[in-house]
Amino acid sequence: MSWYTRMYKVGSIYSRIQGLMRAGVLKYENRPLWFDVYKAFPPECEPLYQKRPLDEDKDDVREILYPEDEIRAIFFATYGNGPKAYDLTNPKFVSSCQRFVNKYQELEKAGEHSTDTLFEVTIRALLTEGVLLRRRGFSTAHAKAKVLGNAKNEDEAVLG
Amino acid sequence: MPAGMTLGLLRAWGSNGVRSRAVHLAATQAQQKPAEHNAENEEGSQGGDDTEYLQRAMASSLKHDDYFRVAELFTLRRLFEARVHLGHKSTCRNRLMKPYLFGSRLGQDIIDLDRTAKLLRTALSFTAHVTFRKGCVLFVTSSRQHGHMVELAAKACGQYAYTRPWQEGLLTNAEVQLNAEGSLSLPNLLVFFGILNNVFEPHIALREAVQLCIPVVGIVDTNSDPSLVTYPVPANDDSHSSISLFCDLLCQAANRGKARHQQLQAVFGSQAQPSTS
Repeated sequence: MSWYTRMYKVGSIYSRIQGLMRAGVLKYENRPLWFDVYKAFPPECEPLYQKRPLDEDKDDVREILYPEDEIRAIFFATYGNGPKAYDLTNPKFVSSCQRFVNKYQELEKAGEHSTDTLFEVTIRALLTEGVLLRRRGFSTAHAKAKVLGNAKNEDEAVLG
Repeated sequence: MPAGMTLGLLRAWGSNGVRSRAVHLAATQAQQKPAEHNAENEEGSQGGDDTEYLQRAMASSLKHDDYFRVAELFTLRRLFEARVHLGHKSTCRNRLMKPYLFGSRLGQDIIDLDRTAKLLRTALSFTAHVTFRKGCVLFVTSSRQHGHMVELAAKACGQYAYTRPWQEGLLTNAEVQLNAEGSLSLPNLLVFFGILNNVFEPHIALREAVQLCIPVVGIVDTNSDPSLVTYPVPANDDSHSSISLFCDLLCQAANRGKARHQQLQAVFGSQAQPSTS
């Protein structure tokens, strides 16, 4: 049976076996073991041979970005990875960056401070909790400007 | 020893060759595809050996949505914790994997686990149905890192594995390459733990299986082409945790099908004997 139908580029395995049966070459009693199962539970997408897609087709896969990514970006630009080493084996691990983000969002929700001063407030708040952040990259203001892309702020930060 | 075994097979498998479902650790010529036990049926195995009870059981098993309850074998959380959702870098993405992606996080593709879970249930169910019908499953992988783990999984469910470099024609030219003229029985299902070989090309066994109309269950990563796979499961095929999980799940599914068959045989088999004698 198998050597009648090695044309894998034409149709799926199911359509080929069906074709053989319709043509009378393969008897229903001699159908393959998987045939009934496939018929009852066909795959979502019929397994047809597909040529390489054209490059012109849009390949739009969405970027996974969260609101707190902005905060993270500024943190990384200023402090690098932070003082604590990452423990990836622990699913409940909270890194320095994540702690910073959590504290920032907490203070933001409290609503007592404006967005401009929120970073400095967060840094001070973490300092009181015992998290010592050593500046590795840019100053907070400069980092913020770079990340948020506000040209005016960047000039101010460099000069001031 | 059943009739029809060729000398070549005897040499390869030793004196208890027929039902040897062993893991093949020797790297010699004898270390070939193990799924060849003597079966004269070349066309298919729906033949007249099955008694009526089995035919009825097979027919009724297809009416249930999830006859073997494979949905209870895993949860979405377990998939996540095994890092099944982590794909390759976006630059290596295969365009055909786009429907299965949740998105890309800072240049790394993330697989949509909701879709994976649904497709995994179908794949596990299919595997269980095949083993229920006494089908042979061949586990295939090119990954040297996971080869042994896959072999152990196959051994644990009484199925077969081939984790060595695949010679072209092992399936399509099996009669010649394995010295098995006249007594060859090919696997009824191929399960791939990664459908690319070590040089990131599509595994030859995939094409061969599709040529011979053998269904394929495959773990497809974001850099692989899922089009020829009958039941693709979009998942991470590189992490140990991920492959370990899939070995476990497929083994359990295969065992469920086999166990059900044995159960039915135990209950009805003895009753059928008076009529056949």
